[in-house]
This record gives sequence, structure tokens and C-alpha cells, in this order.
Amino acid sequence: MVNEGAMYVCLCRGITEGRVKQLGRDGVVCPKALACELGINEPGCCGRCLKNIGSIAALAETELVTPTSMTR
Amino acid sequence: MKAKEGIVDLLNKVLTVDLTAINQYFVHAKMCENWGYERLHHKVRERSVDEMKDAETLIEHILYLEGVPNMQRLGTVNVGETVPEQLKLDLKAEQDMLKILSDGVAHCTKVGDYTTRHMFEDMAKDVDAHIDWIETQLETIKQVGIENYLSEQIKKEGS
Repeated sequence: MVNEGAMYVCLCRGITEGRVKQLGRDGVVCPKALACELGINEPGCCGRCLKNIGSIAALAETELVTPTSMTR
Repeated sequence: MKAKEGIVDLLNKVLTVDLTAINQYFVHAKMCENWGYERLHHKVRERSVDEMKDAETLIEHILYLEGVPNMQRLGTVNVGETVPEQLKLDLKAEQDMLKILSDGVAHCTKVGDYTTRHMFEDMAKDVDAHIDWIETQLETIKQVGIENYLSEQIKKEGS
């Protein structure tokens, strides 16, 4: 099956969408926390992905397991 | 020769998209080679080289028009983790390129620069061929399945 949306969100750090989704599942969805966790706000990263942190956060959020769905 | 209004900016815009595409296709080609997909590596690399030839033409033309080719500016290189994703991202890049070239042709007609217009038309023809190839691959994947498709890519072209 074709894997939907499997691309690199940051080439400097080699961060995949899968990694972002995993963080979302672990409950990291705040843009600032994501940036820290992924290291994209550190020197050496070109900063291009930091501009898109909103969409990265949105991607993480899609995987966030909410308490209501956990009790199901 | 002095360029007509907005032509150098337009050529530089196309150059940026072109330089981005060269990098994107090249890394995709090398990833395919690393995975052992010889045929695909060859095909994707060829696309990257096609873009490089276009970049050469653009740079020469910008210099001829007494402009400065902007080699610094680069768009976002979208790298796919899997072959189908790479194809989809490359298709998007080609479609974006086609849009910019069509707008370019319209602008050239407006200001009466037929040399540049002809150049853009030639490039659009190549982009069309690239789009056709990628769409064929995506359709083949849909029909035969990704495993069957990929197993065919292990062979070298012509073998």
C-alpha cells in the first residue's frame, strides 16, 4: 500500500513525518516543545522548517490520542 | 542586450524553481540507487540532468540580457521517504514549474520578448514529458501494486 504523506519535514536534521507523528502520539503538540524536541531551533539548522512549525504542529496534533478516544 | 521589463526577474524565478528541482530529483535518484532500484535511479537522475541543462540555458540567457543569475536562492527541497511519495512530490514540483512557465510565456507575449518566450515553451515541453512519465508511474503502481512495481525497478534499463 502506498504510504500517505511520508516525506522529510526537515533536511538539516533528517526529521521525517513519522517522527513528528510519533511525538504527537507521545503528547508533544505545542509548537515550541516540538521545535525543542526536534532540535530545529538550534544553530546548524537552516530554519526553513521553523517557518512551517505551524504545519508540523498540526501534523503532530493529528496523532494526538485524546482521553475520550483512549477510554473507548 | 537590455532585457524588456520584468524578463530578468522572471528568468531568475524560473532559475530558482529549476535549481530546486535539480537538487530534489538528484537526492531522489541517489536514494533509489541506495535502495537498489537501478532503473528508477537512472530515470530520475536523467530528469535531474534535464533540469541542469535548462538551468544552463537560463543562466546564459540572463547574462546575455545583462542581468545577474541568482544562484543563491533556492526553494524548499521536498524529499520523499518512499518511492511513491518521491514521485508525488516530483509531480508537484513539475506542475508548479509548468505554471510558472505558462505565466512566463504570457508575460513574454505581453512585453514582446519572443526569444525568451520560445525558450520557456521549449522548457514547458520537457516538463510535459516529465509529468507524463511520473503520472504513468503512479498509475502503474496503482494497477500492479507497489511491490510489483518496485521489483521491476531493480533491473537496469534495457536489461
